[in-house]
Amino acid sequence: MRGQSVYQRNWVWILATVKLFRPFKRFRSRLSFYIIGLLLLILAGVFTVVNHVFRQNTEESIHRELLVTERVFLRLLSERSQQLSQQATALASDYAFKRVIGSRDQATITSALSNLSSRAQANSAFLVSLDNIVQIDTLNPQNTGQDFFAPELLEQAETEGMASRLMLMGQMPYQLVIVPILAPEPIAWLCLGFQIDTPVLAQLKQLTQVEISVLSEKNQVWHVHASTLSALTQQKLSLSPSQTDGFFWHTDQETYLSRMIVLEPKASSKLIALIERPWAKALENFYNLQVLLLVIALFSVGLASLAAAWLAKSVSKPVQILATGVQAIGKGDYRHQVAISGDDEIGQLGLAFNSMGTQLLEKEKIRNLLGKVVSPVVAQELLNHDVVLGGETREISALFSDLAGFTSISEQMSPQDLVALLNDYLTHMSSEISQQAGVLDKFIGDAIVAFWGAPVTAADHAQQAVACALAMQRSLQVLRKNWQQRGLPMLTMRIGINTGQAVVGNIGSIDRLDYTMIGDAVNLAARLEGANKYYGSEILISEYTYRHVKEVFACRELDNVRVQGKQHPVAIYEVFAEHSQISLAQQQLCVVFAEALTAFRQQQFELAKGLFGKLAEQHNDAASALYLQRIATMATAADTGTAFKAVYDLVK
Amino acid sequence: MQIKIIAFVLAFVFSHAEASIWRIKVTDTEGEPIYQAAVYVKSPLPSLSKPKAVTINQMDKEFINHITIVRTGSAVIFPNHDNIRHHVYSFSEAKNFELPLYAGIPAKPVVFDKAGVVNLGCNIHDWMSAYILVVDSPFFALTDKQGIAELNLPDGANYVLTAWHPQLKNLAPESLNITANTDHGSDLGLSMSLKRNARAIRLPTELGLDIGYR
Repeated sequence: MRGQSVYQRNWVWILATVKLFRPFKRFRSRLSFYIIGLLLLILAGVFTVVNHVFRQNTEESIHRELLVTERVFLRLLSERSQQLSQQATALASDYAFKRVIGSRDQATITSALSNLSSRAQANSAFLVSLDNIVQIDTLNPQNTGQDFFAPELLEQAETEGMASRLMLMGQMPYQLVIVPILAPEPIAWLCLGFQIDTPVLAQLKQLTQVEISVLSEKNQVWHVHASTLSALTQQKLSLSPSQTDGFFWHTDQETYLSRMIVLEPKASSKLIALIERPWAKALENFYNLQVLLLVIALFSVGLASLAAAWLAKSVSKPVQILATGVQAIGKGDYRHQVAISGDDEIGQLGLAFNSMGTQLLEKEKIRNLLGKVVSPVVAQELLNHDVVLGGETREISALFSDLAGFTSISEQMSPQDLVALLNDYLTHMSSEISQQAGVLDKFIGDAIVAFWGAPVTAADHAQQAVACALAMQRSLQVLRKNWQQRGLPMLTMRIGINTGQAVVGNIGSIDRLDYTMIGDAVNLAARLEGANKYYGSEILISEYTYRHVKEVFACRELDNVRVQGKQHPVAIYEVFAEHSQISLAQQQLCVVFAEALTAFRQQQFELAKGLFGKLAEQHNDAASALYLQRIATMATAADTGTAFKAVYDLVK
Repeated sequence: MQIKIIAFVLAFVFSHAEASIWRIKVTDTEGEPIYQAAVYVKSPLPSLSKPKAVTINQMDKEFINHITIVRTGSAVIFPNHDNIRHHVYSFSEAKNFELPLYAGIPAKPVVFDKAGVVNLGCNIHDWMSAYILVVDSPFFALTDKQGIAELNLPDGANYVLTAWHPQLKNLAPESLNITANTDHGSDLGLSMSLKRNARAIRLPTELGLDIGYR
């Protein structure tokens, strides 16, 4: 019960400690704490078990030893009694003594008996007649003439030749020996009493190695007669309750494990012997073991601390290195490599980390390269998704541009200069496309193909495309100044834009593919780019684009064209600028051209001719000049009646 | 000496002529016959003759016989037939004597002039033990294995008989009266209680016997 409460207390203490140490922030401290804690727990368990087992074993072995000792003790007592009996027998055979008895002279017999008992070193002597009457009693002379106090002993002596017993006489334990005096048949009994005192017990103690006490009980009160224990202990002993089989009793300093041996069971003068072993002495070995265990415990705790520290260090150091590495990677330093070696899991983690860095670096290189080869938006899209062949139909705005007269100047320049020029031009143009969030599809020589509305859906893709076209033209203005200084010819850029349904997606083979677009809408954009040449314009958009951008950009309708292979005519528009930036002259041009175009289409050729002529003159307008030419052509073919065409067939 | 012998023989013949044999059976309380019990006439009789001289031999470190009955005043000689000396003694009340270490026949016989039991011992050999029963009568006998003692008593008188044995429990033995007209063939018996022969007489094992106290 006591042990259990100690365990409970220990457990509570352990829990409290765990709680106390939970806020250990550092992995190293936690690991050390848990390892040492676990070890201490195991040690405590081992210690408890060893303690328990040892105590139990010790108790058992003491019990066993006491049992053996009891036998030895009894054997010693019996041997002692035999020895005393033999001594008494030898004395009883003394011829002179027999002769004295034969003389029947009481005084002489008494004297001879004293002499005899002193020879045997007996403490008392009796001479008993054959009819059990005490003849002489050296202990209590007044008992002479009375019946002998132990007739049963005489009876035993008569049948066995001798008798011996431990008994209490005059408050002292005695070993009583009775032998007959033979002349040659028994003539009397010789009884010798040997007191059992402390020296006798001390002798027995030497042989048995246990403490021995002789006690008697009278009216439930124990009285110690002789003992090898100290006087103070004896006092305690007489107070202790006793039981036959081993029992514990203790003084202030010592605990004894005792065994009770009944020497004389007669209730009137119960005589017992107690054989005792001091508990502490029996546990001496255990205390040595305890010290050894403690030393081992301290040693192993020390070792465990070192091991925990080493283990924690071996784990936390790479973790720290990896943490630093991860931070570096997070900041974009993919070249960061960690120095963790070893074949274990941590070593593998280090290798994996380094490999991850390398792969990230590779990926970053690819990303950069991809961004250069394809539009950043597409590159992003490609990187984010799995690249699969195939496309989707969506509404996009396609833009085609071309440098007029580039072929002619290419012949006048060295290839290096030409490439430098082209790169300069394309760099600026692609920059404008990127700024307007367009997808640069491809460069074909000096031609640029771009689109809006894919892969990222944008509601105002048409506006973005037109804004981009205007920006490209403005950028070209700047480039042109540069080129002019280098003596290069004036180059104009033609741009065609169309808005419509097209298939966009990864098109090509699985090894080599482009994110591009195909469809009639795309073809129309390309045609419109080419049509600029015919109308003398720089930016042409289809009516489909126009619908999306007319609120933002100022445009004029140029013509109705029919694309080859298509029945439906398409209105085409020239883009000037944003409404806010349009010049007064351009405004005027727009208004008058619209009037003229209306007149032309109503076949009021005279009115149209006048208006077109005015515009061609005042604004140097190529489109007006074109219409004047058409009117003139129609005049020459007026007779046919079929000369008027409201729709112009757009050829390649 | 010769005259003495002749007188003794005459007396014997004379007395014998007038005597007849009585058979007395001695049993224990359970009716078993007692061997070597002494049966003798207790009643005092006028001394008719001088008691005979009796010999108790010592042979092979034993007394022969174990029980000897003698008349009061008998002289007993203790011839030692062994080649070692013996030291015969008795501390009994009836006769306290000793014949210190002697060989051969002692110079003087020991006269037992007081009735009673004499326990003989040898101071050299503890186991040697014998009894001499001294009685005041010339009529005594020892029982045979059937417990029968044959007594030759002169007719025409009343006798009080008694018996004795070393293991006799009661110190006062029983009495048996034989009157003048008692028929010779009649069943005459004496019964007595004996102690168990627990006080076994053991001899040292060197003699191949096991008697006497050690």
